[in-house]
Amino acid sequence: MNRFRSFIVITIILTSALSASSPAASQTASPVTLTDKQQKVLDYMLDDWNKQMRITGVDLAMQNVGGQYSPDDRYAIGVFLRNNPRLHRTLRTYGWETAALTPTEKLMARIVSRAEREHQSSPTREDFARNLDVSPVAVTDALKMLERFGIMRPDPAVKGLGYRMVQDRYEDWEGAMRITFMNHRVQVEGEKPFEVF
Amino acid sequence: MLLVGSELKDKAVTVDDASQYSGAHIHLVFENSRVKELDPSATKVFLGGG
Repeated sequence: MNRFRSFIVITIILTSALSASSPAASQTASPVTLTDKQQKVLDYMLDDWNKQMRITGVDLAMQNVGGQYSPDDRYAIGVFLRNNPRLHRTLRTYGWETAALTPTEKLMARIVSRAEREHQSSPTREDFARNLDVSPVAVTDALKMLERFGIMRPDPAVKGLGYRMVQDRYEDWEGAMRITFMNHRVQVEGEKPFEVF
Repeated sequence: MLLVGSELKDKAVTVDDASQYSGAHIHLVFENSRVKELDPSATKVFLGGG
């Protein structure tokens, strides 16, 4: 019986050791590979970021590349950027968030983070829809995507909006070279729009 | 604005931005580095800045 028990214990230890040393266990997010059409968007962005002051994000890059793209495509590319900071210096300098989020999501994150920093109450969803001139559905979709990216999370204790920032770094994001939730979109006549830092 | 005053100084350029504080939309149109449209009209523009 003792030999059997020892065998069980050794088996558990070996299994734990093997799973701890596997690549999957050492990563916080599951590995993501891009489809061909998602890769096309990524290639467009990397080329764009080689131009002066450019940081065109996924949403605008999908529009510029053309074709059918969904929020799931944007999420997949955003997670790929998050998991691969060595792709481009721009990504390492400014962070994946500013490339992954839409202007509306950035504005909402900016306003909620400031409210938390200054111990003010966050605007309600209706306030956001009115002030940002978007539909209530767009506000809900933006909150869902911010949650999916791990930037905001539902919290019933937050009256009205029901969401808060996930980490301190998303509350205190402003500062030199930090443009996490900023967006500047430029359109030159006759050319495709782009975004700058 | 740096680009509008340098690399894009001879172009017609539209910039869409948002207020740092309120999040209100800011829409600017430039032609040859000169402001053609401002919305809201009280927007202050500093060409050559970041």
